[in-house]
Amino acid sequence: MPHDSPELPDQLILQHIASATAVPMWASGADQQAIWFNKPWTDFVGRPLAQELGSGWAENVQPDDRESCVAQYATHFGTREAFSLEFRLRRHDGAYCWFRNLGVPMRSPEGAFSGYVNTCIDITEQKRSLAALRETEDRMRLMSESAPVMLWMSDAMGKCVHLNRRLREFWGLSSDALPDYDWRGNIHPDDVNQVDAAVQKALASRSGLTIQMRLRDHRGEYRFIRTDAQAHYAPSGDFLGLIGVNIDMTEEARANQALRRSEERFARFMHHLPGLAWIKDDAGRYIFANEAAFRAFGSSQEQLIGRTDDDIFPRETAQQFRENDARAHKDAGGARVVEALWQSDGLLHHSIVSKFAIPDPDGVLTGGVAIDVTDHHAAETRIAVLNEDLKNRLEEQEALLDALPVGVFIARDRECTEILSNKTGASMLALPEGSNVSKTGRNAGALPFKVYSGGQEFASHELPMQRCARLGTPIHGEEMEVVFTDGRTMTLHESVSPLFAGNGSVRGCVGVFVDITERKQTERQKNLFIDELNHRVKNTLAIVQSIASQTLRQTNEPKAFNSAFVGRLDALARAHSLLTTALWQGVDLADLVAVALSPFENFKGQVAVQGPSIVIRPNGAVTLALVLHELATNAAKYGALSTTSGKVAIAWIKEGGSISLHWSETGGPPVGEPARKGFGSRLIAASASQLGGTANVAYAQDGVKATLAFPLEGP
Amino acid sequence: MGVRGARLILVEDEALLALDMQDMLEDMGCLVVGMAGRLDDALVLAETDFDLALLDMNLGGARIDPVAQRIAARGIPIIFVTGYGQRTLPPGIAAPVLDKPCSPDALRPLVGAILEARHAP
Repeated sequence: MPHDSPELPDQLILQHIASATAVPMWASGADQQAIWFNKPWTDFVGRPLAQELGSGWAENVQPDDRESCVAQYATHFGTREAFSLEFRLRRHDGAYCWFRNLGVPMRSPEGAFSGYVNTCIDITEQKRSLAALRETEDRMRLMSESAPVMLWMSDAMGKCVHLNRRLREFWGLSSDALPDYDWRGNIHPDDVNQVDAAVQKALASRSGLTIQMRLRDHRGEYRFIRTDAQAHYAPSGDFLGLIGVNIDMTEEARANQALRRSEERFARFMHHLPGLAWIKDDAGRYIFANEAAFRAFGSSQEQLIGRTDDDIFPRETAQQFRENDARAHKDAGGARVVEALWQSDGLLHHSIVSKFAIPDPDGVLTGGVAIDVTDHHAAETRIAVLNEDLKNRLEEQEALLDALPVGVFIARDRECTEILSNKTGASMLALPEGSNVSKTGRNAGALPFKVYSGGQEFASHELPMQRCARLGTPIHGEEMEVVFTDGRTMTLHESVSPLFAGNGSVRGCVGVFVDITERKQTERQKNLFIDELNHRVKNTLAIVQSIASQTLRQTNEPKAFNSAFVGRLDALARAHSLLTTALWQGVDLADLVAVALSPFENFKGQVAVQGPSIVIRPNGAVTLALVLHELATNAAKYGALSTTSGKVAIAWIKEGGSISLHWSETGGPPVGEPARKGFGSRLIAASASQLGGTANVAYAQDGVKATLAFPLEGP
Repeated sequence: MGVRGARLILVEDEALLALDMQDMLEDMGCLVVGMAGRLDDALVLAETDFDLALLDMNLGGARIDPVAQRIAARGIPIIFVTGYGQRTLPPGIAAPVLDKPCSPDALRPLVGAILEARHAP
């Protein structure tokens, strides 16, 4: 400090300092009486110093604060220690301001207490902001209390300082119990460590946290709680702790669990599905496929999911799939199709695929389930081939049946109510193709034939097929006669075999019928021929014997016998030759005459033959030939042909049903009635008898006249 | 009565055989009182008076049966003659059968026996 400056008393300097501060100050003596006020005080209260001295200052203190203020002030004089006192002080304009009054004891250099010096600090603003803060906190607390979630607040050390009503209710707490409440004891033992670690970390780093834990509620039940907490700072920037929100996620967790279980079940189903399953999104991209599908498509999860059919499959295959997908979307019932796919095993697989739309918030998905029916398909293809083969064979057999020259008949029941035949069979029976030819059928009465065996008509149930089907035994080589209503007859040779069902019972029969009518006729003709031959041989021998005995009756002179006998045999032989040429069917009378007269060629000019063409039967022809031979022989020996001038006229006419044959000799030597009847005239008479006619032989003067008349239809 | 003078009819469709048979019978002393070669003629003949009938079993393909039945009905004996082994007699008739050509040695004893038996007392 400079010594040349005017020196001021210490007291004066202090007064100047006190006045220079902007803060009201005052001092009191040991007797509590105010002894000094600086200018800022008197300026603030706007009262003269005199009024403030002593206990006057207290009049400025707000009446509500005054009594306690004065009392506290007084007590400090007992301790003589520094003190702090707050009160409201009336300003000169009547408004009150909060002041903190700091009292510092004054002591003499000897240390004797001489009162307090007081400094007043205006804390009005401080007080106001504190009140505002309190109000905000109250509102916050109110909000917290009524919030529909669980809220809490901790201090910087993690100690719980606030639990809202919801959280208190969760634990069943009254607000009083709060300071001592150990909430950590309610954490599920398995979650404690995790929660502690998270909380410690949040406190240490003064940051927020998000954790899930199981917390026991007041009923002892663990609930899934999700906690979100934020760090909480004071306006000063001091870390105050954490403010957290607890949300009960139990229901959601349960729903999630149920969903997860459902998804697990779905996954298991898909995994064990014997077919393929997949889902595509609305853009045709695979969003799910089961393992069978991955295998069949030859794709891994990465290769398939997110890709479309076009990305994975050949163009035609993809197109096929796309078109079927589109069909599935058109129809509410989905689409059931067969799809073909070359699979990773190198084979073309066929699957029955059910495709269906799945409505989804992200658009309509397409679901697909496929069952591989390749084996089935192959079997079907094979069956189709077999069927075709079978059909061809049947057609061949039917063609064969129709081409067969024999009748084939089939009955398909034991009663043979329907018998169908091949073409030949139908035409054999004069029926249209496809007719039911059964005599035990519904239209049996309309059939145009009857069936006989050995001259007896068959009872319909005894007919070969009916009998075979009834008895179940085959029939071989029987014959039957079919007589048609038009009178035609037919002989059939039949063989019938029964048809057996799988259980061994008879289900019908098959018959083969051969028309043997012609063969039968041939046989009959052959038999007739043999009979005829036999008859003729015997007959001829009988005739030869008769010729011999008759010739012998005429002469026993060998030479004459021989000549006559040989001549007659020769005539017989010529007649036979002629008949053989005509197949023994009869000969023309003119031919017969010519043959009979052929040994008499020399007399040709003397013989005249005239007559119409008339057929003579074999028996009569032989007799007539012998008759003509006898007449000609006699004529040559004794009659008209024994002279060159003689003539023989042979003529026949047809009169009604009769033939009249005339032998007339003229110009020969005179003839007379013979003494006894010769062989010739007897033969003529016998011939007439044989032919059913009449004969006359006259021995006229100019020659023999013989007439033989017989009916045309004679034997 | 014996063979001699017995009245016989002969039904035979072969003229030459009929002649020969007639001669044989007449050689035996019989009288051939009628001959026929056709069935209708034979039926007429069957009604005439005779003691024995020789009948060809087949006349131009027609069986002699109606004639034989008529004669049998009259109680007159019959001898059948057959040309080709036909052995089936007309129903209800019992009579001997001879094969053609028949010899006098076969015919004679048969005719004799029948005629003797017929008129035995």
